[in-house]
Order: sequence, then C-alpha cells, then structure tokens
Amino acid sequence: MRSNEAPQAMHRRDWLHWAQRGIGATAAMVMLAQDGTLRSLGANPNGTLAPEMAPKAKRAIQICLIGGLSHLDSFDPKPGLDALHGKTLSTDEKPDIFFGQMGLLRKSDWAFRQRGQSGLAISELFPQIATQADLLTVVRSMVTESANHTPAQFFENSGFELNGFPSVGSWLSYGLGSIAEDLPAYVVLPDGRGGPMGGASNWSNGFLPSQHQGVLFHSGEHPVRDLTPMASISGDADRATRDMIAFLNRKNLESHGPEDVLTARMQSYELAARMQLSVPEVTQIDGESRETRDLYGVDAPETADMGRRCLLGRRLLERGVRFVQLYSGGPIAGAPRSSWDAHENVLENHTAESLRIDRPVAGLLADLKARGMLEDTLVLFTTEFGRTPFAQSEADKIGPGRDHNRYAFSIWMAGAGLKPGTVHGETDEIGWKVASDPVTWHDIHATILHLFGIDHEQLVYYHNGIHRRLTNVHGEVLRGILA
Amino acid sequence: VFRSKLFAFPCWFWISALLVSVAWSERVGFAGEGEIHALLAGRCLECHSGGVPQGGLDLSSSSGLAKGSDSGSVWELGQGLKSTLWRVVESGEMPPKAKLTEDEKKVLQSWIESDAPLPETPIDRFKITSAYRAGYDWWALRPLASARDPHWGEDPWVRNEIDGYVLDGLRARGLNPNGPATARSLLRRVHLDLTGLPPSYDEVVAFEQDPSDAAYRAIVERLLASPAYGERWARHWLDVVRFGESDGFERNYPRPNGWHYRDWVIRALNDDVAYDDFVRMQIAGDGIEPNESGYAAASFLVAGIHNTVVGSSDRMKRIARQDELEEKVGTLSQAFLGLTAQCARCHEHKYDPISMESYYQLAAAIQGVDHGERESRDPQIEQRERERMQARQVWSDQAMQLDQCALQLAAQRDAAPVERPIAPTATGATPMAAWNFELPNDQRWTDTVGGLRAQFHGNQVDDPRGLVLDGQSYLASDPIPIDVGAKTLTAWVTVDPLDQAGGGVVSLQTLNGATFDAIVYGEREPAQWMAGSDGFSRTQSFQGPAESVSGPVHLAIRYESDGTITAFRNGAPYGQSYSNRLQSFGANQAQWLFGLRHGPPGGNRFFRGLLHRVAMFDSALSDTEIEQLAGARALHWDLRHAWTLMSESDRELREQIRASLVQIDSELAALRAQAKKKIYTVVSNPNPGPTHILTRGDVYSEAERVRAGGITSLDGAHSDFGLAEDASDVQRRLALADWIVRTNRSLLARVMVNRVWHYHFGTGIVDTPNDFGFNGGRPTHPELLDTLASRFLDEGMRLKSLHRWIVLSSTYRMSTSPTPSGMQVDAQNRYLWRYPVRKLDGESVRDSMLQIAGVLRRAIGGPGFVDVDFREINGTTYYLPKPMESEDCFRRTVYRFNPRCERSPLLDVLDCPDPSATAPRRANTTTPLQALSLLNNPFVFQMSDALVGRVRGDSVGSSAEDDRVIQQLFQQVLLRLPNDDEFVTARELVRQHGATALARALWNTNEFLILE
Repeated sequence: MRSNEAPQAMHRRDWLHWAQRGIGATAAMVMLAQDGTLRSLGANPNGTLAPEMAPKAKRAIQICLIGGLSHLDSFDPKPGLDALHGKTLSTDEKPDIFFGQMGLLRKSDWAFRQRGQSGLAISELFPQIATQADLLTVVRSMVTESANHTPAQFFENSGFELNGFPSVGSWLSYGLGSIAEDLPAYVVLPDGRGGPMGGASNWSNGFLPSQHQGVLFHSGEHPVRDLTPMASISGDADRATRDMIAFLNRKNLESHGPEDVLTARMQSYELAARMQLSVPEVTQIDGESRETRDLYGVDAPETADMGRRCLLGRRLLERGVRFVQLYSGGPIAGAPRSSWDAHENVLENHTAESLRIDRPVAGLLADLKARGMLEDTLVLFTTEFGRTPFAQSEADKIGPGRDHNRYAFSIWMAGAGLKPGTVHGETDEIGWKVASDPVTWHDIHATILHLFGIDHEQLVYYHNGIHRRLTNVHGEVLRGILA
Repeated sequence: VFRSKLFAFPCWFWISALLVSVAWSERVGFAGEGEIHALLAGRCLECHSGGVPQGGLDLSSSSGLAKGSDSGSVWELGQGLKSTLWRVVESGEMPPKAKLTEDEKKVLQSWIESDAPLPETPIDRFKITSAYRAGYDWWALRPLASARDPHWGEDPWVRNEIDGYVLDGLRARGLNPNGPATARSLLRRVHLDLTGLPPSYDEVVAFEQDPSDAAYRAIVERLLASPAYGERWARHWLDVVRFGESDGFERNYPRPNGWHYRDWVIRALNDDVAYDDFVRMQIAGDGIEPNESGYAAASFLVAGIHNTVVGSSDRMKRIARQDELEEKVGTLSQAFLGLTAQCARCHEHKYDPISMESYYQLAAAIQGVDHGERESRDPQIEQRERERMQARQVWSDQAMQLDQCALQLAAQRDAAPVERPIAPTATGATPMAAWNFELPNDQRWTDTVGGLRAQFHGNQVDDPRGLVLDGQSYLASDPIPIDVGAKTLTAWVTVDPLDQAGGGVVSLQTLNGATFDAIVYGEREPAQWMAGSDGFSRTQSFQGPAESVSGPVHLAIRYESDGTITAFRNGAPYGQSYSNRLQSFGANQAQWLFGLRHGPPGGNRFFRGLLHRVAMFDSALSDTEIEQLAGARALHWDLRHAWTLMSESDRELREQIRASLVQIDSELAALRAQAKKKIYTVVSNPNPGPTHILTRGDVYSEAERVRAGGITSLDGAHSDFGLAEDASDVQRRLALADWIVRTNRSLLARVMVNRVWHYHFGTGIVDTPNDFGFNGGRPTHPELLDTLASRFLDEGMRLKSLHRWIVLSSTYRMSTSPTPSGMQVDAQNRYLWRYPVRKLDGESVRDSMLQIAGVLRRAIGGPGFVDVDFREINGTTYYLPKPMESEDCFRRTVYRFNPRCERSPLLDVLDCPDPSATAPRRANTTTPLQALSLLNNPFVFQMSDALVGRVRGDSVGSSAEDDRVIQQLFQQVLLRLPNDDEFVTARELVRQHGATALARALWNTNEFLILE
C-alpha cells in the first residue's frame, strides 16, 4: 500500500447502511450472506457451511391476518366437531381465552373438500386459494403464548410479546440487506381500512439500526413519505438544488480529506434520486395486463384493496425487495369488525373478510408460480391465533361467534424450499388443542431463516448485555416440511 | 511466582490479557486446581450444580461427584480415563452444545488422570473471572486503581491528565495526536456538544480574533451556565431511561402528565445536582421529598412501557407483572450500574456474577411500584383555596336564588311552554340542573339552569340529535355546589343497541365514584331499567318490561325522602316501586355523570346510544309533573330566555355576580394548578406482597422467598437490606437507593463518567455504556477511566466539573483531519489520534435549523409540544404525524411530546430512538430515506422560508441584494463566508430559483450536518 494514501479501513458500504450486510454489532457474531453464498464472520472464523444451509429463498411475502382466523372453518377439517355440535365441552379447566365465555361446541359453517392432486382439505371459505392447494404447506399445530391480540401479533412478528424487538423482516434486512439498492429491504402494505393495533411496533426495527425498519407504502399519490417535496417547486429548481448540495459536498470533501462518513452521505443522495424514480415506477400498476389485473381482482370493488397490494407486493419482490408484509385487517374492535376477530358471528365476519382477500392471494400464488418466482420466493399466510371450537356464548347456547384460541391454529407457507401440498401436525378431535407436533412462532422463525440460508442461532445482535436473536433461546427448524 | 507478578499489574491488565490470548493452557496462570475449577464453573456447572442439577449430577463438590448421576457413578478414583465422565466428554456428548476445545479436554484429562479431589465446599461459579465469565474480581467491580505517576513527561500538548493518558496510548501505537481544530470548528463543536445549539456567526468571528485559552474557558463557562446545557444533556439521559409519554402495548394511552420528569432532569442538570443525589431521587424521590420535585424524579421507574390490557387469565396477569419487573430491574441496573441484572430472571447470569437471588432481591425492592398519577400539594395554597371556595359559595347561593326567581317568573309569564323552550307552568318545578344535547356542540357542555360545566371524555361526534355515546365516552360535570337529598333524575334517551348491559344514563356520584344513584340499563336483567347504586345497596328490580324501543324514550327515577324509589317510562310508572333508604350527597362532594354508571371509567359501565336531554330535580316530583315532562320533549329550561324577562337592574346585579364568580373561578383554577399538580409517577402498592424466586422464570414455579436486597457480588456480603418482608414500598426503595449510591461507588462513578465521555467523543472508553460486564466492551484507556472516576468522586460527583475537565483538554480540541498513519493503525479512532467526525443527532439538526431560521421559541419546561394528531380507535390510541409543524411546535426537540410507536418522520430517520427500551448509544446510519427527508420534509421548507425571510428583511430583490443574502445564508448556516466559486454557483441558483433554494441546499450539506 502506498503510504500517501489513507487506507480505507472500512469499506464504503460499511458506512452506507442501506443495502449493506449487517454490521456494527459489537462483539456479535453476524452471519452474512451474499447472493446465496453464506460466510460467517466474528467468533466463528472456521465455521463451515453445511450444504443443507444453502439458501432456498431469496425473498418473502407475508400475509398477516389480523384478529385470529378460525382454523376450524378454513384449513383444519374436524368431522369430530361436526358430530359433537351442540354438545358441551366437558372440562374442569379454566381456559386462557379472552372473554371467558364457553358456549356449546359449534361445527364449522363451511364444508371442507379435498383439493387438487394432493388432496389437501380446505373449506369453502377460501374457494380460490383452494385451487392452489397443491402449492401449500399447511401447519395445523400452531400454538402461541397469549390469547390477547397485540402481544400475540408482536409474538408472531418478533418472537417477543413486548414492544421494542425487531420483526422478522427487520432481521432479514439486517442479515441479508436488500437485493436492490434503490428500494428498501422491508416494505409494509397495511390494510386500506387502517393499521393493525400496535401500529409501527409491528414492523419495528427494535434495537437494530433504523434502516431495518419496515417502510410503509401507502396507496395514492405519495406512496413513501418525503419521497418528493410537498411544496410546489419545479423539477429544475429541485435538480439545481441537488447540484448545489453535491457541489458544496465535493468542495468540503476536498478540503477535509478522504472520509467515509462524508462520502457515504454524498452517495445516499444519489441513491435517494434513484429511489425517487424506482418507487413511482414500482407502484405504477396501470401497465399490468388486463389478465393480470383480473387475476388479482384489482378492479372488483371488494378485492380492489388487497388485489392492488398483492400485485404491488409481487412487483416489489421482482425489483429486489427482500421482505414484503401485507396486512388483512385493520383496528381490532368496533362494529362491524374490520378484522378477522369474529367474536360475534364467524359466518358473517369470515365471509366478508375472505371475500376481500381470497382471489388476490390465490392470484398472487398463481402469478408467482407462472413467473417462476415461487422457486425462490417464500409466501407466508399467518394469523396471531385461532378460534375456539365452542361458541362464545352462554354455557347452554350455540352462539354464532368464537373466542380466541392460543392452544391451536393453522397457518400456511408456500414456495421456496418447502414440500408442497402437505400438512404438518394435527389438533385434537375438535380442534381445541394441538394433538401432535406443536409448532411455535420461534420454530416458524427458525424455519424462515433456515430457508434463507441463515442459522437462527447465529444471526445475533448485541443489545444491552445480550446477544439477541429472533428466536430468543428457542426455535427448532421444521425439517419435516422442507423439500 | 506467577501469582505475585499478576497482582503487580492493575487488574484491567491481566484481565484483558486473559481475554485476548489464544489457548486455554497458555492464558491461564492458575495452579492446576484453579484451572480445573474455572473450567468446571465455565463449562459444566451451569447445569450440573445447585438444588436440582441436570441428570442428578452435581459437579461442584466432592460429595456431589461421589454421588454420581441418576444413572449411577460417573467417576471413581483410580478409574481415570475409563470413567463415564471422561467418556461423555471425550465422545463430545457433553457439554451438549458448545463442545470443549482440545486444550480444555487436556486440562480435564490431566485432572481426571491425577485423581485430584474436588473441594467439599461447592465451587462458587461467580468467584473468579475466567475465559468464560466474569467473577467477583471482574475489572469493573474492583476498587478504582490509584493513579500512577504520569510518565508522559513534559509535553506541551498535555494540558491535563486526560491528555497524558491519551498520549500514552497513542505513543504505544506509534501515533501522534492531531493538531488543534480551527477556531470555527472548535467553537461549533463545543457549542453543539454542550448545548445542542450552534454559535452565531458573530461569535465565530470573535473567537477567531481571540482564540486564546482564556477566551475558550470563558466560553465554556458561559455554555455550562446556559439553560440550554440542561436541555441538551437531559436528552441524553432520557435516552438511557427510555422516557416515553405513552404506555406502549395495545392501548398506548398518552401520559399527559409525564413531562414533569423531563423538566426535573433538565433542572437537576442545570443545577449540577451531585450525581448520587440525582440517582437517589430517581429511585425514591417520593420518599425523600414528597412534593412535586420528588414525585417527578421518581417517575424514572415508570417512564417505560406499561401493559394496561393483560387479559382475563391469571397466567397472563402474572407474566405481565414479571415482564414489567424485569423491564424496571433491567433499566435501573443498566442505567446506574452498567450491569444487566435482568439476565438473571430465568437462570443465573450466564456471564456476570449475578445470581437469581440477587435479581429477585432487586425485584422485591421495587415490587410495590405501580404506574399512576399523583398530586403534589401545597398546604398554604390549599388554605387559600378553601377561603376562596367559601366566598364562591356565598355568591353562587345568591345567583341561584336569583335564577330560580327568573325561571319561576318566566314560567308564569310564558303561556305556551312547549313551543317556547321554557319551564312549564303546569309543573311549577324547576330543575337544579339540565343539559340540552340537541344544542350545537359549543353550547352543549353547560347546564342551562345553573351554569354548571361538564367535560366530555372520549370520542366526540357532532350529531344534532344529541350526545353520541359509543361505549368509550362519557360526560362528567364539575362538583355540584349544593346538598342533594330527595331527587328526581330524568332523561330523554335512545338505547342503541338494545342488547347492551350495565351502562349508566344519568348518575349522581361522589367524586371518587364510591357512592352513586343512577339510571342504569340492562345490568342485572337484560334490557330492563333499574336504579343503580353502589354495590346494589339501594337497588331492587322494578320488574318492568324489557326495553324494546331503540328511539327516544323518557326515563325518570324518583328518590323520595322516605326511601321510596319509583321509575317512570314515557310518563307512566315502570314496574313496581320499592322502599329502601335515601342516600344524600354533600355540597361539592358529588357530580353528574352521563353515559357512565360510575367512575372510574371502564368495564360495562359505559352506555351506548344517544342522550338527548337530561334534567335533574332536587325534589321528588309528583306523578303528574313527571307525566307532563314526558309529554313535552321540546321542553327545556333556558335561563338566558328567562333573564330577558327580568328588569334591567336585576340583570345588572346578576351580571355582577356572574363576573365575580368568573373572577373567583379563575383564581381558584390558578390556585388549584399550583396546589395540586398531577404528575405521572410511582404509585405505591400498599401491600407489595412476598417475592419468590421463580424457577426458570416460570410464574407458577415459586421457589424460596427473598426480601428486598441488592446484588450480592457488589459488596461481597449478603446484600439483603435488612428490611422486614412486609416493608413498605417507599422503605424498600429508599434502601435500594442507598445501596446503589453507597455500595460500589467505583462502579457507579465509572459508569457515569464513561457515559459522559461517550457523548463527548461519540464512543465511550468502554463502548457499551450500559454493560460493564463480560459481554460488554473493555476499556481502551482503563487508567484514564479510573482517574476520571476518582476525580468525579473527589469533586462531589458534579457533572459540570467533569465536562470542564474534558472540553478543556487538548484531546477534545484536536482537529478531525484524517492522517495516513492514523487511518492505517486505528481507523476507528479508538485511541483518539483525532477528534471524531460525527453526524449531528436528530435533535441538534432540528434545533439548529430552528435557531438559525430565527424562529426557535425558548420557553423552558412545561407540557410538551405536540406534532402528532391523536386518534383513538376503539380504545387504542394512534399518533399520526401532522402534515406540517405549527409554530407552537418551534421549541427545542427535547420538549416534544414523545409517544411510543408512531413517531416524527424527520427524527425517526435521523436515528432518534423509540423509547421502548433503554438506548445507551444511538444507531448511526446513513440512508437514502434520510436524504429524502432532509430534502423534502415540509419542516425543511418551513425553515428555508423562515431563514430567507429573516436575512432578506424588507429589502427588494436586486443583484447586489442577492449577493448580500447569499453571504448571509452562508454565514448563518455554515458560519463562514462563501469562497469565490461557491459565490458564483450560489448566485446562479438564487437568480434562477430564489434564495430559498440555496437555504434548502445549505441545510443538506455535510458541512452543516456533520460536526467537525
């Protein structure tokens, strides 16, 4: 090295915290990945990679159903419950549900049928998603810790029931960065009826650096906040101003000498300019073909909101966003409900909610498949907990609603590295509790990271005395569902 | 020999030596016994020791080893390498996760082969520091090293000992310190660093003319004495203590009275309160000074998140409680002691000598802490308040008599009461109070008879049909100024939906909600009306029909002096009346509630539907009167109308009384604000209850009970505070505060001086300011850290002395210029060969822009400015950033109302932390979103306009004028004049796009946003 050059001890990318590969964790072991090739740094310099860790997924899209989807009425057929309709669940247990009312057992309001080649059973609640059954990997034995919406949602997102912990998307952004530099790594598309309870805490970066926070894309003219000036200034004036900034920054750098902090900031303005072009481009779905729009239901009033977001999700993934999160359901309470929280009437509520998303989600699956993206895209369809097999009513009634069930619920995944058309785990005869292979969110999170080629015990960030992990001190990869 | 040598070095030396060396056998200087004990302690005893060791095998003592495991003997003397113990280690079966290294295996092998016994007393895992974990002898827990003789010699660069130690460190690495910063850089640095605000251009020019030491010292003194100092450094402390102004979690309710803590911190820092007092007040201020200041300080304990919806199950309640204790124990142990005690909730601390017992002792010390509001009181002012209240009573009695006259007169004169909204002749009765909710929103809230005011709580909807009650909302009146005995409550109301249960329509309750009489719907019998009362003590079923009309109905309940209670629906008796007793309510002791059965608000007490009109009488009306009331829905008692019928002189008299009452009320309001301030702070649970160690942290696995105490390893003794198990909350916290500030002052001082260093230089001497344990960083300059800490203690733990010492050093005054040797040897600048190049934090960016633009409001303290819109949806509060800041937001950012979750777009991207957890150091990121916000956020345009307006004044545009404006903009923002080519470029920009384009550009330059 020539002595008159100041060595760049830290690479420019290390200062530019956008598409960078997680740094800055003191005394932390950080797994870094680059285009599917993992290498490990830090305390495990000799760590070699098992072939099974080769990443299958490059990107993921998660559809979060807010409020608690009834597994009994969708993905977990229970003929045993049909038989016991109107009977009492004889138990001395005081279950951990929300309102505490235990009515009589209630059969599903929808018929189940075996679907596709796989014969996977899905109810008539989701007729369109059912056509894609052969792509799905259903987990019927989910359990969670809280029967209360917000802690359960936080747990689903971050593995902790409290505020302040990074969500799955933030961890992926931290571990892998974005594929494209001109778009954020983690994008959130909330329900048109409003954000979920807990708001931005659901897509929080927690203690990870702020660029790992989920970036909200709104519908309408201004999808990303501060993307363009709200004041009316001409394009010329805007350009001339940026030129002035670049000019002054160059002069400043010349007089100061080489400095990463300074050049990184200069570079960030160039990236900002590219983002100003790429965001409107990606959010502009008018150019999509008629067939594609129909596939997602973009132009039908009941599916327009979710259809647009599913289609936008696919476009974001195509252009290099690592993790897209869509919400189905806004604020929890109120009448009529604007989420899946069917305390009053499952039939009415779930019918209305399903109508909004069934076609768009099925369209998304079909579209990803047709474009060959499903090979390395992970699709997640999740909810914070399930619903009770007994009605939420007085003890001698079969009321129309169901309470929260943290002891058993269903989610499904599809795409990259998974065994399609299969079911993992089972619930008891009536779907009240898990009968075999209980699966926690920590297990799901470990499996997601695994599919991205990351060992969940290795992706850590030092914070206030602890090397924090997405999976806390738990989590087992669900090897049985891997292809 | 090795041992004696070991102690010739300061402890930090051999510990860091221990940690950086490579192989176990090389790095440990212990005799064989110490070596094997450390190995067992570090790798085996976490599972194989204690009350219930894994597999029944206890490896901590000779008897444990002799006993073997559940499946039999593991090692008999003489068995050597044939033993089970060796076999499972050799095969890699044990330890189950991180396997032993070859070197570790060698140590174990030689121990097993040598047949050396284990001690009879169990090995204390915490005793000694090893390659695995910190022991009682951990560097941070040891006493401060006494300063050694300086050996940096005579060097003109060395202004004080800081420079000596820094120079030592640099020379050891073949580095030299940078030369001094320019006067402009240094002045900007010291201003922003100490006060968070930049100097003016004139101050820069003055300092450039006289950059002497004396001038610099004078500037430092001025900055430390400025109130802006406390505002700046309070913001740092608020990061550490996770100060936020909403609950977080699901509801995320705002804490409108949380700001007192922020003001207390600012005041304490400006007053340079001794640090140990600063600490004590935050733990037990309410016990030390039970007044505004003490309550505000103790708010530290409750400044974090708080779960207000824990669900119905016992398990969820217990977990929420334990989570909250962990959050508090974690924050206080990290903030004050740099120890992560919260890690010992479920198991003994994996890295530091903190037992579960110590953790639960700390938890017991704060077990009685609840979240809530308290009022601070001033007895003298309260006395004046009582006097004014008596005066008010005299005036209001007179006013009421006059009003009754007016209403009676009006009733006599008005022939057609239903058409004209006035009291009907037929009834003759006038209510004591009435509200007409069909009036427009701005007239609804005052009683139309006596002028009693009421406050609406909840979601306000403008609906001409009446008061919309959505099950979350209610209206509450001021205290009723007269005694009420017999009474009649009446209301026009719409029930919606009919299947609700328990809501109150009209309630007369004592101010604390303990006693009430109310019209209640469907509480005990579906859809039936009843006379609700506290504990149903005056309630019996009327056995009336279920309500079936979801439209306006007229309800009345009559309470006669003989205790008879009768209900009427649409003028007709409703079911059966019954005999009970009459409840009386004293003057100023009771109030009206509408839409709520009784306080506090919550549960099924809320009514849902519409409330049209209400009228309450302090007499038992006759059946006929009630029937007439029900027949005249349009009827209301309009005092204003009545007074139009009175004589001019009567009206003047009434007006004088009204003016007097207004005057007294405003005096009273001022007195009340002074006498009683609501402060969000600790509320003591009168019965904190016992504390158990929870095995594995499981809320149902209660092991032995512990009493309030500290961390055993900090004082080497049993650290029980010696309090009774039923000691009060305040006693416990007073003991905790004393323990923290007295027990290990070395640690207390090291942690704080390191924080201060961290904020001055961007990185601490220990780069993990909240964690001085095994997992944290090691000091780059251990002797300097101890010297700073000693001096801090010697000088009474005054922060301002410490600042003075640091900013007057040559180290602090160096330039930031990169040098080849510096970059090559120490690119991260941990050894301080230059002053670091740092980005301004979000608050400094915003505050600087406000100041430079000339619009900063310097009001100190008080409720924060609010740059978010509150939206309460079904009980959850959302905080949405306002599209644009209004001028009342133009205060220093530390005064921003700081809710959790949704935050300020600009501050968010500039790495201001979410106050969900303690943030001892901020993330430091550079992202395109930052660039976009600094370019496009409306605030940046507001500040550009304001700045240009300020420099341009009333002048008219001309090229000479433009040049002056350009010069001024550079002077204001960059604190210098533009050079020639900058001038040329700027002129072009201003000519084509105006001066605001240049202002916007300057805010975005590195020169403005980076501190050199």
